[in-house]
Amino acid sequence: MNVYIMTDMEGVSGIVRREQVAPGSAAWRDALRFAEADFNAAVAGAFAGGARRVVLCDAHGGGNNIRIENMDGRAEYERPTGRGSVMPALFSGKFDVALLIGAHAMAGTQGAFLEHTQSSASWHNHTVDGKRWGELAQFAAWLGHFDVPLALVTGDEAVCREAREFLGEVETVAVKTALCRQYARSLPLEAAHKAISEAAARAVLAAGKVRPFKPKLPAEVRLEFHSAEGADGLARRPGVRRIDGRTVGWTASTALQLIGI
Amino acid sequence: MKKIYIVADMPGASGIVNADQCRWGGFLWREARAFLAADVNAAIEGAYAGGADEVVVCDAHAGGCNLPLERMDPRAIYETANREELLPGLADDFAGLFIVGAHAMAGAQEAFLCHTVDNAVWFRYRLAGRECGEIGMWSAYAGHYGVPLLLATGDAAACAEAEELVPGVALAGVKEAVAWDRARTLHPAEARGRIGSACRRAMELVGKVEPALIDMPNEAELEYVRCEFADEVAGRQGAERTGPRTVRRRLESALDVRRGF
Repeated sequence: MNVYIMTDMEGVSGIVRREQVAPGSAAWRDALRFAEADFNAAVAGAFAGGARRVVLCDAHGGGNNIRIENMDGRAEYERPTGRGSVMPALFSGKFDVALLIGAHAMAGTQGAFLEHTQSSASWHNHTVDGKRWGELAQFAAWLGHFDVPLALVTGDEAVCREAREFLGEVETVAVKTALCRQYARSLPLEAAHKAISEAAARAVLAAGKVRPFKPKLPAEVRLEFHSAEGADGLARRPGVRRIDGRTVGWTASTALQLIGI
Repeated sequence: MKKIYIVADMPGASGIVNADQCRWGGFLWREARAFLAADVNAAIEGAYAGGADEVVVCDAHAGGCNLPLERMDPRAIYETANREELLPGLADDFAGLFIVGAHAMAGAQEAFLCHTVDNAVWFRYRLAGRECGEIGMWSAYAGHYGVPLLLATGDAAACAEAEELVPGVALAGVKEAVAWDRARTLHPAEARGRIGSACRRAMELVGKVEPALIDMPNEAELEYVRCEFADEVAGRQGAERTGPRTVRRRLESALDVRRGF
């Protein structure tokens, strides 16, 4: 049983204000231990559930949110390598199930901690065949392209709702509740780690019963930016059409093209 | 007695072709102030040549202090806008409103630096149910005093927006957008000539153009780029949250149309 763990930082237990996820800030540096603890809990759970190999992708802000010496020595660690390889190991290895730890809800979700889709400074809406998507659906579709089902999502209550909406039968662990976009109330750390670990074990044990997320293809993708400036950057790529001042669109023929082209 | 109120904004001034030239306080901005000054002086001259007795100029870009007063036409009076009052010195004895250096509303197509109030915060603004930018806000505010919009200068998109709002309004298109942050401009000397003659035409419209009147009380609705802004405003008196990123506010009169939503 090979397990892929995708991670983000907004949905980590103990992280309750925006500054804690701003790479390079003092608050972020201090919050790394929270991220490491949630990620380690997931790794331990995966092994307890029968994993033979675990690869964890440190993806928030492109990586650099874990100190390897603090991480469970049984797993392997990687980070995105840029456009085209958000989860690099999927291209070379075979995985049976994936877990998403520390997730956040899509841009435009009320009552969601640090809601955004890819960029809180430029992406307004990402839609696939008219349905709004967040990073959760993006990751699930990306995994689905490699036939890997997403079996566990942890984060705030809003992203857990989003996970059930997109994936149906999926394990979720809500480790916090948003008070508004910028502040949250977290579960006590120990309780959160225990819940993550147990859910990870259950998800790995039940891996064969969860289906990969495979949206209908080809699909019409729209990317609406806050400003025309964002659309300008993509509008001239081959296959991309300008829909309006701040929206571009294209037809995705593979799941990997649902996110970018 | 013909009094003319001129609002001066920077993105639509001739000679300005790059977003950095409008960044208040920057090196390129310092130089670009001369372009704005020349356009505004041409408008003042055109207003007087067309029969104006008094001209008031509101320096409205980024809180004001863009116009180098030592280079400005000494016949006019100069003021700046604030968060509470869009056009502070406007009153019901003015004969017309001129907008010099205008830009199109947020989300417009092929529009240089199109935005509404704050490109990083305001996504879409609706006044009395109609999508609206700063040109619409200013003309509505002036409408409260029975003052009609008589002239707009700026890029082609801003001129089109003014024409749609007030058919027959005097226009001087001085440039076209190449991208959101790049434009192609007429030579400023040529632009000054066109602005001057458009202002003389505008003076002939005095008494012939209706002010923009909005039934009151009415509503303004603002969609923000992120939930956090709606979180902040939604608790305040008179503000109703109508969506995750959207807040609606009741307007008692058009004087309630302001930059501080």
